[in-house]
Amino acid sequence: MHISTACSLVLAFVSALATALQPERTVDIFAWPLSAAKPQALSKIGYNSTTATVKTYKTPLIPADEQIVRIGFFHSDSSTTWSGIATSASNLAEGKDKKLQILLNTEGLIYHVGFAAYDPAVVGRSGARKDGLSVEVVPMRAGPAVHMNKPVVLDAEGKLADKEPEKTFLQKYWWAIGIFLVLQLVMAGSKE
Amino acid sequence: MLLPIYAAVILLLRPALAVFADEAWTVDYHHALLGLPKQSTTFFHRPDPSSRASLIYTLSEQGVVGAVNPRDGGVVWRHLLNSSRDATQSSFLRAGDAQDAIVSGLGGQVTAFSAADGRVDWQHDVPDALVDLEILELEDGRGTPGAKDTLCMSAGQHPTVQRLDGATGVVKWEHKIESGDTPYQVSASTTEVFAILLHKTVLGYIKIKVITLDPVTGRKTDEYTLSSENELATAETILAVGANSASPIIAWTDSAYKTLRINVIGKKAIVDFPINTLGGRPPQRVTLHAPYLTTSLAHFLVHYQSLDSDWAEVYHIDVKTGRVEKAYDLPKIEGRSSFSTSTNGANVYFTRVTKDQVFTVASTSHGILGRWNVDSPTSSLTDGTARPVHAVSEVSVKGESVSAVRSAVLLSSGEWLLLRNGSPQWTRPEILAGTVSAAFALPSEVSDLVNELQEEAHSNPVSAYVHRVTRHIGDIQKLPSLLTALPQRFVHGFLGTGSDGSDTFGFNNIIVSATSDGHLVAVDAGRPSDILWSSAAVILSSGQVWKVRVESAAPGIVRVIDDISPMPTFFNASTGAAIGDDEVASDSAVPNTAVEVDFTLKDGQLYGTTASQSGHNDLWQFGLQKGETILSLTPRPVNDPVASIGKVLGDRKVLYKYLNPNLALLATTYAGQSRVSIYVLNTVSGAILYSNSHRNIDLAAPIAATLSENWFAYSYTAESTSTAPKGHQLVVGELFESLTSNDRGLLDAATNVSSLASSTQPLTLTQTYHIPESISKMSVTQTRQGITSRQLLAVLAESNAIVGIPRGVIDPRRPVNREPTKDEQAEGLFRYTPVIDFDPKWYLNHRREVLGVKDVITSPAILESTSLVYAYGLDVFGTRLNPSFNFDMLGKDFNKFQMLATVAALAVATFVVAPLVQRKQINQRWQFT
Repeated sequence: MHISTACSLVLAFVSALATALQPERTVDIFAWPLSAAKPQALSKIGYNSTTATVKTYKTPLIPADEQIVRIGFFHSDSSTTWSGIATSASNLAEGKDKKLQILLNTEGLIYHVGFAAYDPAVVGRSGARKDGLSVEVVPMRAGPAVHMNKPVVLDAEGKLADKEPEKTFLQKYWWAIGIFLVLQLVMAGSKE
Repeated sequence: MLLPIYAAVILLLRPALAVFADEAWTVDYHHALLGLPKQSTTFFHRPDPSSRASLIYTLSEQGVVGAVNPRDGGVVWRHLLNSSRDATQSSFLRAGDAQDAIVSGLGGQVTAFSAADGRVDWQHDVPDALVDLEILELEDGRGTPGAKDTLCMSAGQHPTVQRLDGATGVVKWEHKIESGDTPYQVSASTTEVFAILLHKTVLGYIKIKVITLDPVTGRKTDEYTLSSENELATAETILAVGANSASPIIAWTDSAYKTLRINVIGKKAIVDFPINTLGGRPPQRVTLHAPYLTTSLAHFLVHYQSLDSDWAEVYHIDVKTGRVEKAYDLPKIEGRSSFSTSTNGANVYFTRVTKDQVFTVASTSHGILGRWNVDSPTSSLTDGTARPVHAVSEVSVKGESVSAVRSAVLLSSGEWLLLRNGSPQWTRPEILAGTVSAAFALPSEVSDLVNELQEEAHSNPVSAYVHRVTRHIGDIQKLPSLLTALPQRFVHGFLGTGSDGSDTFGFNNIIVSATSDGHLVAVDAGRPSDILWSSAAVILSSGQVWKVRVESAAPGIVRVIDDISPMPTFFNASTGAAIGDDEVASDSAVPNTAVEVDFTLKDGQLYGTTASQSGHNDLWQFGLQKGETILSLTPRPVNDPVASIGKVLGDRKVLYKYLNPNLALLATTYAGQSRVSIYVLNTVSGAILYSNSHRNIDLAAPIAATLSENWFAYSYTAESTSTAPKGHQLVVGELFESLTSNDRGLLDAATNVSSLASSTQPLTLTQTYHIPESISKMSVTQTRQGITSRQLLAVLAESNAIVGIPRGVIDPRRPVNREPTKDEQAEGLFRYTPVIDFDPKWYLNHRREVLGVKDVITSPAILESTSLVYAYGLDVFGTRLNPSFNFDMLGKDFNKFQMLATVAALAVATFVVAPLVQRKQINQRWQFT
């Protein structure tokens, strides 16, 4: 028990160290109103496989009658292909708590973004935020695996190994004996 | 010890869903198809030389080799040779004379089957693509008695001719062709083996080169080139290279079909015959029909096809001198006719099938030995909608005359028809084997009423009243015919003798299928034995495959989207008539929204666009990473009604489902990595709602995926790891608004949610199960209101079956590693087991073998309990499913006679007892005791 706790503590420390030592990557997130010709820089995010921080944030200039804003980033290997989502322009309004999601693939690289905005009352103020923008890392989950049953372990004789040893008579019925003894004592006392 | 308890619990909670024995062969239908037979690979053959009974053997365009009983058209045996079904591959099927063996060649594989039962005798892989295959008929002492040897010729870098042992398939000798010429065909006479090669000259023309081989050793004994001048530009005008005839020939024409040139193989002389057009148009196609036996007379028939008529010439070869001479002509007949050759001993007979007659002539003289009228008013051959494409025939001869002739004719409508003395015996709808896309057409009559009722509901009271009165007047006019049909309906209802034509339950939907060769074929699910209509929708060049999608556009109308026409075309589902774009009412299933988003998968990129003033704008993009390719994209079905927005738990609380009509399931893979990623996308905003990645996946195995309601499922084959062996797995995921009961999370009481403005994220529960077999395609049952529980339909390619897995079995909320609580039990959940065995009762096809299914489509019936299922690919299989049993319909076991008898007996009893009771009551009042 103690050894496993110690082990897990050491492991947690090592993994925390590994995370801290990971090179931090940065990505530029753009906001692109549907009617605009060019995207505007929205934010610069620094991230590693577990955490992300908002380095810069600029409130985007959105025309008043615009309804939809695209939020995305350009692929590092090409200046024209981008990945991104569409969101309502009202979600980028000043008063809202905005949350940017950085979706990471199995190599820890960004492959998509997500965006959510809440009224300030809904969520508590926490997270790595800057001017109402917080950022969250969504790593790629490993695919769900089958929950196997516990394997049946047999000993050398082909019998079930971990069979619990039979309890002795005393271990099983100590309480009955106890009650009997107490009763005897009480009865003996009452007779006197 | 706990296992029997689990089993009991499972049995109690999940009544076994199965196909009932009394419904098994009535509610489902199945066409065990072979595919379109080819002229060169179809023939009559006697599997047992001592018996006169013969079977029709064919190797179809779909790569199925099989035998059909000519008496009833039933399949005796069949094998799907390859699943790739490359239409460009040449295929061969040969039978040795008087032998119980059939040898097929497809791609690079030669397979010998026992002709009687289809057992595989041996297989042989040639180094490259097969060019030709022949059975060596000659007996040279080295051949094993009983099994004749096979000659095969292969192309590629090192073309070879091989002789394979007829009994074992072992290579007896091999001759490598080193000259660099293209191998074309292999042929054999009674004494020699010939390899026919095509030699390309400097000017780009083709010269025919013949290499003579010793049949015993395979050594080259002679080689010569035919002086074919400059008229052979391509190999396409070579008509035939005879094989196994007493005197094999090579025949070719010039590209304008002016002269027919014939060379008897082994002789160097070429005989020219000018082609006589008989005063009509020049021929468009010339084919040669010759017997395939060394013992037959060396006679052959040349068949000329012009645009509007057919004629033929019969030639004789003098085997000793090699002289070829024309014997007689067969007259020109307007319209398409087909010729076939049959032999009886040494005699050769030619049978001609026209649209209304069948003739047989002997090869020796032009006198007609037998003539029969095609006497069927219903056949598509006689009513002019279809013409014969090719035929094979078998004649029985009595004395000098032909007593009977059986011809298996492939019609241009894709039906395979057997004519026995001109009368149709059976038809097989082989065209359906090439189905690439199919759709249920919504029944039109019922929805007409729905539309009219809706019109009344949405107009002002006065006009609605007028509309209603006129509708009722129209209904009264139908009353007399309804009354006259009533007795018959009663009788049918009582005797259970089936349909009276009406389709009250909506089971008789029309299914419109598009085939790869450009046809549209409709089948009525109520009368599945015959084709409703069939039409050539597009004209394709040879070898071209129709890439097409069929979908239901409006009641009674289907939409066809293909790669040929830029706009979709519309067809009436019950008649097959093309319908103009303007006559199709817009689909009311798609509601009008403020922003319309289309999503497209183009050039391997997935993106959403929206219409704006400046054309189409990209709304979102799912940028693929380097090396990532899309395996499949499955959107939620457009028509996917959901009855309940939540799941009722055991304690009467509700878990709210994440119901978004714009969901899509995307599966991607990475080049060179055995990895699969699964994403659930919102197709309006492009947001990823769920994603995961599986490692160690066998990408050669099929990966199937489906999405319905608020859940998705996919299956794959996982490679073996240090802890687990290789196995097939099924993953089911379900999306909820929140995992707390009676709580909708951020959505709260909102009824309408915008995909763009809302920030709600679904919570996904997943569960993985081991399954015994890989699933090649998945689908989900559909019912009218979505009240009935659903079944996951899975196509099992390896066992040629379709299973319907009940939704409850794959519920991701099944408790893992513990017993279910009382509440969970009340909800119907039972303990998770790592393996889902396919219960034999889940098999929809019960004892049928459903071969080569590529897709399964489902459609709701009018009855809520029933979902219609149609599977296609090679075989066609359809059935009706009741995932929650027949709760709204009387089963077949309901005894109407007993019910009526009980009512009658009660009525009689009432009439008899009533006076007695009345008298007793009166007596009671008047008598004082």
